[in-house]
Amino acid sequence: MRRLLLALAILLLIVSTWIGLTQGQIDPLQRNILYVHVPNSVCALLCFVVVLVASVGYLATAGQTWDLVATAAAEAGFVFATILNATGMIFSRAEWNVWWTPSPRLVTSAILWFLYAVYLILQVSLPGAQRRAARLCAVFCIIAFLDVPLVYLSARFIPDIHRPNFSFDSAWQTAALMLGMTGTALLAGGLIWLRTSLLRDSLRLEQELLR
Amino acid sequence: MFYLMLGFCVVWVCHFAYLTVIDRQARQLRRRLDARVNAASDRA
Amino acid sequence: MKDVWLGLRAILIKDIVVELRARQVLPTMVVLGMLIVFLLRMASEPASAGAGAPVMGAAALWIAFLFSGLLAQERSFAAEQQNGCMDGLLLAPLDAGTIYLAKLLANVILLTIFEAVIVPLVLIAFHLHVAGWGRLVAVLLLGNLGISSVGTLFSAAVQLTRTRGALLSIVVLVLLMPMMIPASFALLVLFEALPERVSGSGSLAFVGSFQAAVAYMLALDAVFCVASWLLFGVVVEE
Repeated sequence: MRRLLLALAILLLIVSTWIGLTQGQIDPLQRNILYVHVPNSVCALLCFVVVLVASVGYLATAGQTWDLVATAAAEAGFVFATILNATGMIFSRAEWNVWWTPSPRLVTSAILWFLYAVYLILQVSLPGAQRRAARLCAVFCIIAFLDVPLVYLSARFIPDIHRPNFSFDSAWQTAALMLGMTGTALLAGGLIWLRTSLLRDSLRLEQELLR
Repeated sequence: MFYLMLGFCVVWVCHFAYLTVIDRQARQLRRRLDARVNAASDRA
Repeated sequence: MKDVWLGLRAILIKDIVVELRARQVLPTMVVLGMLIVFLLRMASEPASAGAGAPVMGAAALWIAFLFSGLLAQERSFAAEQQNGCMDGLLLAPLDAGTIYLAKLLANVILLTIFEAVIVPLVLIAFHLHVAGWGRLVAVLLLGNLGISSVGTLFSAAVQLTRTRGALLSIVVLVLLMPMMIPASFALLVLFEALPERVSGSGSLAFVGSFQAAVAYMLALDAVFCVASWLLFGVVVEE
């Protein structure tokens, strides 16, 4: 079932890229990176929300699964944030000839990446009971989440180098982008699902071996 | 053109790298589970 | 309410007296801060001599602040852990939030003392002129609160790990990253490197004005302090 989901997601991604590049090609060729950049950015933020919900859930109920979902979502989100920053830098180099500049959107993306990295390091390096480590990571996530939107939301209303002035000309382009978003969202869901069950099984194995 | 290719390569490499990591962990887990099942059945 | 104040005062006085007697952390903080300022001054020699001085000075001040601040945060629970006082603190008839507030105040006081030493040093090293001492004190206090609030919370969290200081550093630094934009804007305005209002694109223009910078820092501090105070109980429960 999960593999089916992942296969569907990858199929959608390939289709969206195909449509984007053939029917709905954006004029300067390098702008086509947007077809992967935008969905990945949405997914990186989405995964962050998932980690937050899972963290709050863990603090509220102390159920192990919440912690596993949080870790899985953080890993997936880390991959998406890496892609977000990398494609963003490539796009910025292609468009404006600089690899990076401290504009609000770009800074927020970098901060998002760092937040994921620190969360994952915390998950790995806090010793002691599993429960304690999970609780601390949840606390970190909550504070991190309160940290970022303040800057991010206000960045939407300020002129910024990040927003190039383009709009979608044809329905094909919109279709390609929407397909890409759906595909990436499905990919995120599938990855999180797969990773959670993997974590749960490995945890169960550890417990069995200790018995 | 170069940048476009670079971008797509980055995306696919990242996704596949993560999927490979997960897959390798899954295989390792399965191997350990099988070893444990075999050990249990040997003892029984 | 009175009990809260009594408990808070007790822990606060205990921390300050211990620090005054041991004289361990504050000298280390001051020396670290001075070394950082010195290093940055040396490493940026051509830029710091002329027009680049306020920028480098602001950077040096915040970096020294952050890293010495991390030392202070680590101290706040390290001694408790080593001497087994942590259990004693938790068993006392005190709300966890009260313990947090007391530790927070102790850290703020330590950092303020550190500030008083380092700021004149930065001004001398980079030949800077301050346009408004009251505002400088306010901005530094906001930065102080920011780093102390998050640092105190996570200092309790990382006590049992092996890589204690390093883990605390990455956690606190990543959470403070958003605050550094308005913080550097505010300092640059005070060191007369920026006009009061900046427009255009880029993150400094995003902040826009000195008032906006202070407002951002205040908002982030409020969020950090309240969230840390509420979540401290979660972090120390067994």
